[in-house]
Amino acid sequence: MSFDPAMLDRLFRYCLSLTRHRDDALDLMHSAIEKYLSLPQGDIRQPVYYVRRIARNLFYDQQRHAKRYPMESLPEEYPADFSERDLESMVIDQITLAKIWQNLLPAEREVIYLWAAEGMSTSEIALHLGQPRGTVLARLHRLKQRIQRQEAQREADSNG
Amino acid sequence: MADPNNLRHQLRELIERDALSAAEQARFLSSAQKNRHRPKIIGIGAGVAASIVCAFLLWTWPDGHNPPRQDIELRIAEEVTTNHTRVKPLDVTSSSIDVVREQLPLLDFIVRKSAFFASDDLELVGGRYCTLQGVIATQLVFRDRDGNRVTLYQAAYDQKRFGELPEKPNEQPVIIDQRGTRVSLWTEFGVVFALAKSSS
Repeated sequence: MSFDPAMLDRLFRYCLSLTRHRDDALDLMHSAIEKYLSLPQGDIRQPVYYVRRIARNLFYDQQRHAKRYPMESLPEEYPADFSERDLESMVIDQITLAKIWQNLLPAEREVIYLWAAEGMSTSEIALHLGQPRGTVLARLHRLKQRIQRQEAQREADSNG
Repeated sequence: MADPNNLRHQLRELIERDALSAAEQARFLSSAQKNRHRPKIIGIGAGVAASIVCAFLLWTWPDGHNPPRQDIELRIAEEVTTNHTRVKPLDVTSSSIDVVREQLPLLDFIVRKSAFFASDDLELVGGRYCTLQGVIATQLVFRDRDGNRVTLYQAAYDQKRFGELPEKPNEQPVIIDQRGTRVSLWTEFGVVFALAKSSS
């Protein structure tokens, strides 16, 4: 596979969704590409997915060593009638959204990156990450809750 | 068309605000190219087999299956026009080609002046890393006597990637006018040159 600028930007944004910090994202991307290029590539059918998978594994390995983020402590609940359309139809200002985005956990940002930037459905994300669809929905639902909390807070601030 | 108020669209916009700089792009492309060309013992057998298959395909492939030359030139001109119209920050600002050359060390070819427009009285403003047809390249920015922006792109010439382009000084450049920009394409010193300036 030859890398093109658009592909490199996509990989960079994915790495940034995991690491949150630009320099860490560049390091992670560099390691992932280097590892990918060192592998025999004859039977790799979807190179972008493959490099992304390498980056993901490297990132979570690093996190396990550093014990930086909780790995399994995210609640998995979401209301039975929740769907991604509920989230899609929400409206929020860009500054609040940027603030929320920065405060998400890597696992949440990863799901939202795949949903928003790569345009994947929840089923595709579940397949891509090897996780139950319920986990993906729970992460999207948590974003909805965060937005609702921020909005409520903002309303309370403006009223009080 | 996506609803700009839709949260998915808003998030996408937020995420896409972050991008690699031209220098970072160049570094990754350069590193990927170097790594790809690193010899691997395990790949030698596969390489030999692939060469045999390629040789066979080239021998049996009908001529009509080669991409038409015009298509390649139009693709290059399209990319050059896009780069020309989008003003991006320079990696190095200098009126000296030697300084620009020194400050862009990741290029895999020697940045040089072209004899083709030496008499055009252009003043060099600076240069930056960019890509041309997926390979590392440089964009040199000039001003002409009237203050108009003129950009010159250079990349190592690979005939398979860039097609068969005229070679200076014996041949005349290919000239393509599109979207108000005149793009001239040629090769010199093993480097592909693309010059872009306003058509008017």
